[in-house]
Amino acid sequence: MNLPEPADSHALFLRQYAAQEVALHAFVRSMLPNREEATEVMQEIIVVLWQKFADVQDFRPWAFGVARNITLRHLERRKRDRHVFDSALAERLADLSLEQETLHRREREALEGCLQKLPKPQRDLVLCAYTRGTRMETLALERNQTPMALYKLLQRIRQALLLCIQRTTRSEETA
Amino acid sequence: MKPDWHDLIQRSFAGSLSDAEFALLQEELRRNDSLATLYLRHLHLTIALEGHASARAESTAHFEPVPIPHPPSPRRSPFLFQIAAAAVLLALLGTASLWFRAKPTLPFAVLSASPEASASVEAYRQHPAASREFHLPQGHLVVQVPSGVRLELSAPARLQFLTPMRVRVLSGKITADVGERGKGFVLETPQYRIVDLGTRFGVDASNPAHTDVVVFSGLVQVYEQQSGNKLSDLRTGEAMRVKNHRRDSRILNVWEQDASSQWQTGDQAPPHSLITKVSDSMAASEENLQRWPSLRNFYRIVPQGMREGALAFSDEEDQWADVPPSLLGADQVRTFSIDRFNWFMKLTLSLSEPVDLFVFIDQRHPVPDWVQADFTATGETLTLHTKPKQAHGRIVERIPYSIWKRTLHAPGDLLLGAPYPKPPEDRKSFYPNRMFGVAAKRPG
Repeated sequence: MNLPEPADSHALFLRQYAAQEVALHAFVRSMLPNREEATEVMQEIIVVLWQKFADVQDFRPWAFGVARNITLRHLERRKRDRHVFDSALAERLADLSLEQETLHRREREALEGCLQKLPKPQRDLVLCAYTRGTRMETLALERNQTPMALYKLLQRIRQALLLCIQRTTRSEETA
Repeated sequence: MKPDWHDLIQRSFAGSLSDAEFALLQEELRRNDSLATLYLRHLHLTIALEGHASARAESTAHFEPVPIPHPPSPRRSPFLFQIAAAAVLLALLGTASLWFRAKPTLPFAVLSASPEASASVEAYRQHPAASREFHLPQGHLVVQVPSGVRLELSAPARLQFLTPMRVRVLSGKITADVGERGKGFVLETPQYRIVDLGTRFGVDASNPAHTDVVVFSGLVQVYEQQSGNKLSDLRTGEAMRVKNHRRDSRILNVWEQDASSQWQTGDQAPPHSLITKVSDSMAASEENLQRWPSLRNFYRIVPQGMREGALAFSDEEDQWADVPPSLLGADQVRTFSIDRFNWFMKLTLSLSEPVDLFVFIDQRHPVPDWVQADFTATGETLTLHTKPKQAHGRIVERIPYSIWKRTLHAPGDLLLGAPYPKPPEDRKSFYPNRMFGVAAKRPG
């Protein structure tokens, strides 16, 4: 009997997309830092990637080109809105993000270990704060803190994580 | 006053800057490379924290099943194509919450299937609404779910594809190859939940009395389903058998087919294996499990696994190289690299028939007495390529090993000693032999 679904373009697309998804998302976020907005744009990007996938030889540069164009078009539509980077700065950040991609990948890998080094209450707090849908005001209320005190605490935890990540990646470089 | 850039950057992500602050940040980002780098570091930290938070939320939440439509061919109408593509992308992004009712479809792509498994997939496709339980009574199936996670199923198995990041194993054996994007992928059994943090691992829930979890590379976390309590972290080369009521025990041996990546635990060796059991002198009590983490380690027995590039140890990525023809195709035992420090450890091999037994000894230090006494130097060598995790796949050292042989004329048990004879007097200047390797071949 033939295979019901051979390793066809579905699987091939998934494999290629899976390999680039984290980097693509980070690339879009470098131009469009808002999480929800970046997610919307990513949906638009993946539809285009999927539609045109059959004709593509080299997935990665093509996918990043598509992501750049769609995100810039989105920024152009929103240029009159408050607090949206202009296209020139967005492109500059996108370029820098690509240049530093290897470093950022290593930093993401180092985060796991650094999170484990945090005291458990701090680890739970920071992960709770970054869970989709968490509102800082509600979290502060639950913790019997002012939003500002909570913000300062999270800021300190982030600083500790940044330092730890930096130390880890540097020690890997010298190892 | 100098602005607090850390603060401004973080508040820019939250959209809480004033107009003046936003203008200041934008202006400075345009002309200051260091600030742009700092901005990106904060951004990537935020993205990574969101990823970890999502993985944690995913591992504790419960979802309705989300069938994933199979994409149509490009020749179909643009309208249908758009709908299917949109549904695929929703599933890929893990945001789908709707049933896609237009056409019964599979929640996975089939990568390879035996004929019996193909029939099971067809049956599942015909009746997808029947409780969404996938039953594989016979055969072997490899699928990929939309999160990119690759799953190998060995019959008999029953499972449910709950979401692209969550699969429930009702019974049977499944191996997951998760990769970078699938971090946070969850395999759950009726009693336990195994959260993957980027790895290849297997779960065997064939026996309702216990669940076996085996990690071939990476890290998983094992949780009790009902209480949510974490039972253990398991790393490369570690395994545990979790019995009902949380009692766990050590899995000593995992047999692997090197070519097909199939594996099995249990006391019964595959019929063709020359080595039927490997055990050691480390008592596996609950207390010792805490005291000696290596007691989570399992010996990997690979029938006919000795070849160029074969993994040398169960807990490291080190490989054998320059393997002489006399060893090719021998049954291999992957010992634990970490046991090179255990001067008191002894290994017992159980052999099913007469064999030529080989041990490979680090040539840089004295050969242990038990090797000198019972084995004969063959004069041949092989090389250990060490690949520590921090080297990301690079070979860091090439260590020469000598090959020693002993012919055993009857089946039975054989005791092997430690990689070095006694505890060090001066720990600072102590460089133990690398752990030895073991292989067996029919006398020829």
